[in-house]
Parts: sequence; C-alpha cells; structure tokens
Amino acid sequence: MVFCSEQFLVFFVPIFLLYWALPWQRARTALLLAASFYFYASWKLELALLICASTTIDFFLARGIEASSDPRRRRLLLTINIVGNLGLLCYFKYANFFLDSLRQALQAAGMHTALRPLEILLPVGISFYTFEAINYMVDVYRGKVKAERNLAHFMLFILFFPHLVAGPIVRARDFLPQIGRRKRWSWLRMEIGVRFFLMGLFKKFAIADRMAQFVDPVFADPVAFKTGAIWVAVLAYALQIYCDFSGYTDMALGIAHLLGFHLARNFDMPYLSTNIAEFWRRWHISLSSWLRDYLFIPLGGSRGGTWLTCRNLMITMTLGGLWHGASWTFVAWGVLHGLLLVVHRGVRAFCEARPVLHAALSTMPGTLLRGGLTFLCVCVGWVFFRATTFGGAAEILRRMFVSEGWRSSALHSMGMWYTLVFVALCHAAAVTGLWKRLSVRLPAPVLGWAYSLTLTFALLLAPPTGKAFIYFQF
Amino acid sequence: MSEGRRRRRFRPHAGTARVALAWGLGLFACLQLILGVSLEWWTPGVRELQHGIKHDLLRQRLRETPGRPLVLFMGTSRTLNGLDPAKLSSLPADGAPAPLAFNFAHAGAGPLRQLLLLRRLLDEGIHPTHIFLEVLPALLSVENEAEGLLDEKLVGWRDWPAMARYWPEARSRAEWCRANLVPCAAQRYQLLGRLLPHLLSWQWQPDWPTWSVVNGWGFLRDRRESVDEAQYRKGLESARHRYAGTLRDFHISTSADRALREFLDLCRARGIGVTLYLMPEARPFRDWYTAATEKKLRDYLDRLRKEHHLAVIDARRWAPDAGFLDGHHLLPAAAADFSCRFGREVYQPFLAQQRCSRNSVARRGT
Repeated sequence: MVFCSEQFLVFFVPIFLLYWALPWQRARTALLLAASFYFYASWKLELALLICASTTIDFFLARGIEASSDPRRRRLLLTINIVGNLGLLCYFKYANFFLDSLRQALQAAGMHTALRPLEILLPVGISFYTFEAINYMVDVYRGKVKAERNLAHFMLFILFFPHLVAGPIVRARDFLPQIGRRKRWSWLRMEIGVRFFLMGLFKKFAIADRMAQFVDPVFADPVAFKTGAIWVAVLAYALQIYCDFSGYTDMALGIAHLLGFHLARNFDMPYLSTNIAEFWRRWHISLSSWLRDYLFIPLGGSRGGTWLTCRNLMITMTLGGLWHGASWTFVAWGVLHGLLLVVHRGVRAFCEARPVLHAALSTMPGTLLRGGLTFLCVCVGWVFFRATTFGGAAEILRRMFVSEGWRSSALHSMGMWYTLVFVALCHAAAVTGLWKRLSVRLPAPVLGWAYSLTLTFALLLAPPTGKAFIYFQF
Repeated sequence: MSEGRRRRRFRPHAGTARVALAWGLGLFACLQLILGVSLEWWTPGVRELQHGIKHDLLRQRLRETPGRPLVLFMGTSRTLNGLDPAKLSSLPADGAPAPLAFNFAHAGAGPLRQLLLLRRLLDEGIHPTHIFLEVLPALLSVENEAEGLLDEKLVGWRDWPAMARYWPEARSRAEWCRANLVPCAAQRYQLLGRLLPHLLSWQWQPDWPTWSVVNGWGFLRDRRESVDEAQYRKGLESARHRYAGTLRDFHISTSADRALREFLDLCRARGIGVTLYLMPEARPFRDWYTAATEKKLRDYLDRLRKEHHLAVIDARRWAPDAGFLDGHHLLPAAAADFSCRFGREVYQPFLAQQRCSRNSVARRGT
C-alpha cells in the first residue's frame, strides 16, 4: 500500500476520521497501532509479526539496560540488541548478496561451488526500522533517553505507518514524547499536513515518475544512446531520485501532521549545496545524522587527526552505500562519496590557508562554480546508484565525458525541459522565501485554488503506469 | 508598519486555514464535475482521440455537403488504413445528390464498439442511409470486448443503455463511477493530448500525430510506402501471435453475435441499409484459417445474410501479398488499388441499385 494509491485513501480516511472522533488519547494510540500493523501486514502478515517480535525484544532489552547498573551487563544487552538488529538486516537484505559474491570469487579462483541463493523475502522498510531500534537502544544506553515503559508506545514509535516503510529515520527522543501528549484538532496543522502531502504527491507523480521515462531506457541499454541523451538521462535521474524520495517524505510528513505528529524534515534543497559536506547535511538528513551520531562519532569522528578522520569517513560512507542496497554498485557509490568528503576536507583546508582564493570562491561566480561542481560530482555518483552493473555505469560515464554525438532523439522532449525549468524556478522561489511569504499573505480562496490546481496537475501529469518509490527497495 | 505589526498581520491563523482547505476541496470537486460533464456532453471526442478526430471530420463534411445522403464505412484498422472513400468514385449525377462516403472505421473496434459508435451517431441525429460494415473474423470470437472497453475508458455515461446487456458480471456501474470519479486522472492522456500535447510523456507522443493526419474522408494513410522483408516478417509474426490461435479455435462468441445482431436490428429499425464485407488478407494470414473455421464463418455470414437480407462481400483475396504491411493491413499503393476495385465492384453497383430503386419509386408515384 503506497501513499499515492486509491487503496491508501480508502485506508487512511476512515482512520483519520475515527482518530479525531475519539476523545481519549489511549484509544487514539491503540487505533494508530492497529492501523500501522494493518498497513504493514497488507504486504505480508508474517513480516508484520516479525517486526512486532523484534520490537518487543528491543523494548525489554532497553528496559533491562535502564534497570541495570552493571556496565558489563548493560554493554551485553546493548550488544545483543545491535547484533540482533544488524543480524536481521544482514540476513534478509545481504545474505544472497554475500553468497553471490562468494560464489563469484570462488569461480574467479577456479573453484566450482554449488552455492544457491536463499529464498528470502525482503521485509519492506527493514533498513529503516532496524536503525530506529538501534538509535533508541544506544540513546537509552547513553542515558539520553529514558527507556519507554509502555510497550504500545514503543511499538507505535517503530511501526508508525507514515515513516515505517521509507523513513525518515525517527529519533526516539523526538517521537516518543509526542505519543503520550494529548493532541487537539488544529486547522492550521491540517493545512500544513495537506500542503506537505500535495507537494509530495506532485513531486512523485508529475516529476519523479515522468523523469523515469527518460532514465529507464538509457540505463537499460546505454550503448544505444548518444552523449546528449545520456546527459539528459543522468539529469533526469538526479531529478527523479530527489523528487521521488523527498516526495515520499513530504507525504509522510503531511500524514503525520494530519494525525497530530511532527516528523523532522529529511531534505533541504540538496542540489543547492556548494560542497559535498553540505550536500550530506541537506540530503536524507535523518540517515546522514544517524550515520554521524551512531557510526562516525563512535569510530572517533574527526578527533583523531587527518588519517583517522579520513578512515572514519570512508568506513561511514561505504557502509552508508551498502545500507542502500545489496549490490557492489551501491558500495561504489558510498566509496565515491567517502572519497569526495575526504577530498573536500583537503580542498577546504587548502583554500582556507589562501585568503585570496578563499575570497574568490566566496563570490557569486565562485559559489556558482562550487555548486556546479558539487552537482556534477553528485550526478556522477547517481550513475553508480542507478546502474545495475559496473559495466553499465562505466559505459554511461564514458559516454558522458567522451562525446558520442549530440544528435537529439525522442528523449529530447519539451516536457522534460519544461520540468527541469519548473524545478529550478521552484528552488529559486524557496531560496528567496517566496513560498513562505505567499502562504501567509494570500487570501484563503487563492490558497484553496493553489491546492486544488496542485492536486489536479499532479493527477493529470502522472504517467500511465505508476512506479514504486525508489527507497522502498532499501 | 512596524515589524511586529507586519508579522501579526501576516501570521497564519486557523480561520484562514479552514477556509483555504474548504475552498481547495470544493474547487477540486467542481473542477472534476466540470471536466466530467464536459467529457460527456460538450467535448465527448476528447475521451477517445481517434473517435474525436473522425467525429469532428464527419460533422465538418456534413456541414459542407448538406442534404447529401451519408454512406459510412465502419470497421477496424484494416478499413481505416485500407479503404479511401475518395477513390471509390461515383456515378454521374442523375439529378439526385451523390452520397457522401466517409470512412468511420476505428482501430480495434469489434462488434460491441461498432454498436456503441452507431448509437452515438444516431443519438446526435446523424443518420446514414447505408453502412458498409467490416467483419474481422477473429473479433467475432472475443468474449470480453466490454471488459476491454471499460478498461480503456472508452465508455461514457450515455453509453450505459447500450452497454447494459453486455456489462460484464465482474464489473458494475459503481465501479465505472469509481474509475471515472476523478476525470483529470482517468482521462489524463486524452486531456493532455488535446490541451497540452507537449506535456505528454514521450512514449505517448507518436500516437497524437498519427491520428491528426487522417484525411478529409476519414482515411488514414499509413506513413510507410513499403516495408522490407525483415519488417514484413516482424509484422506478420505479431499478427500471428495475435490472431492465429483465435482463428484456429474459432467460434462465434455469444456477446459478439448479440452485438452484431443488435447492430443489424437497429439499422433495420431505422431504415439503414447494411452490407457486410471482409477486408483483404495476405496468403500467410489466410493459411491460419482451418477448414472448420472457414465453414463456421461462412455458415454464420450466410445466416446473417438470409435473416437480415443483406449482402456479404468476401474481399479477402482482393489484394496481392506484396501490398501488405503485416499480412492484413494494406500499404498505401495497395489501399488505393483496393479502394478503386471496391468502388468498381461493390460501391458503384450499390449506387446503381440505389438509383434504380429511387427511379422505380418515382415511377410508382406517378
């Protein structure tokens, strides 16, 4: 069940109405929990039971950590939790990947092997909820969060359906207090929720799914396309993945607002970044902050000198790439971003030591240059992210930078360029604060018109066959 | 204005939010209602692109030639690409206006769709005097044409009376309403194609220019003048995949038979003459008919001929194999030749017979 489907509408509307009709907060919590379980079980009941079982174990482990004063026992319980959650993740997501890699390595070494892939069904959202469980446990261990005493509340923290399947990765300290808080109906909040939802729907239907039509044929057979079409496909993919993922997140935030919850934003116009470190402060913020707080900093962060900092960056980003998918291309993407972050640190130090250069790069042309270079590096990374094989990625990159001709093809449709210009204008409006000013100054009927036209155009521009959200596969 | 006062003035408040949401919902609902009504009543041609184009052309021809009897050629893409009314010629006028011949064929149209198209024309007051109706044997075997029409959203509110007897059990009017509740989603391809074609997804775009080159008599000339051996084989293979099995296991489906008979009964009730014909097929295509299939088809058409007193023209052998795109669609040159032959052997004798009938009626009158 995806947010932009009729099935979800039929599911959500009665839940929403009943939720606000119930005067008791406990009843509302129970309703949300039941709805969230049903939402997940609509994919597969067994996997819903699995997530409930794992959540229950985490609940008791956290209670055990808080109740114990013995450091060794606390560490043991934490280790059990982390190993358990990562073990689940590794089994469901990476078992076949490792088996396949081992088989290929053995075959390359001349050994015959009868290793067969396991029949494993990947639980939707496992990458997200295991990370949430880990962050909760670590925060309890560190004393930053008190262990939740109400199993239903903790279950809701993990299973809350707006963020369950594809994030954002929610922090326990931000979400748990909201569950017990009594929520009052607020028209303002409803409007914010609707606005987020419509924005997300428009990004998904009118932009992301349409861009897929320029991307899929090229990545399926790059040899058949010239340099111009390759560049169009890469730019289209940059738009697709951003609008797909941020669109999903906006819908999740909107639904959460409609239920009286606040989820942290996950994107902050990442393509306006002027360096790669800034990109990771703006892209998938919940994941990058999780990696920073629970991997990079525990490894030592940037406290151990240049070499250790670089090592920690590489480990963090490589594992971050692997988190995205069980494929070496995702690992390569992570390694590339790790290298970019390492290079960025070096370049930043170099520039800061040279005031004239630093000043030049801080001017408008300098900023545009840095922004363009950052965007180019990110697009190169997206080639690995999207390609299914290294050969395909290499072919795409070769055709990007070694001209094979710029003859236009059917891909060069005006619709695609209109979309690019439209997205650029929206970014410009956001940067100048135009949306914010308009939303408070425009009269209500005009705002209403804007909402209805947004919904109309989102539905009108949706391509014939819908595509699954990209981050569902993670 | 002070900063604080400006902030207070432009601070969002609950009243604005409530009103904005109400306006948004109301306007969206109104927009869908207007779109739905428009697609049903004012611009029904938007719902179905090829029908809209042909319908507009037909109305234009009728406005230009008022008072002329109308002869329609209805059928599938075979007729659409293969029969050019401009090449049929006509007898020298004997004082009576020469009929307006128009190709009203629609790609993929089986018996039920033809019935719907006829009903729509009659409801609009367009009353042909004679219809040449193509019979595509494979489509007589299709059981679930109604399902296909519903899936492709080719059925409007006003088509329900005609569809009532063919409504598949698995579907219901409630489901039709649900599927068409939001026309901006259900009919988005059609709406974009007419209003903002540049925003159509690039895979859809070739369809729009294809239909826009239909000539003034409804004939769609294929853009290819010839095909090489490889292209022909590919087309034939596609046709084989689609038709060979059906022709091998040929049977007359209940719904197709019912729709065709209802079409013929409606024509008889309205005084519209009908002639059935089969379009040319290449030898490889004809080889997919078994002896049993041929017998069933012949017996069925004979029954219709006797029951409804109509002529059946079997023109399956009227074009050389080299004149086909894919074994059953004619290339432009072959279509021109076929149209001329059809005119000579079918249409002109038909006109002569019409003239004789008018003259004998006139003599009886005096």
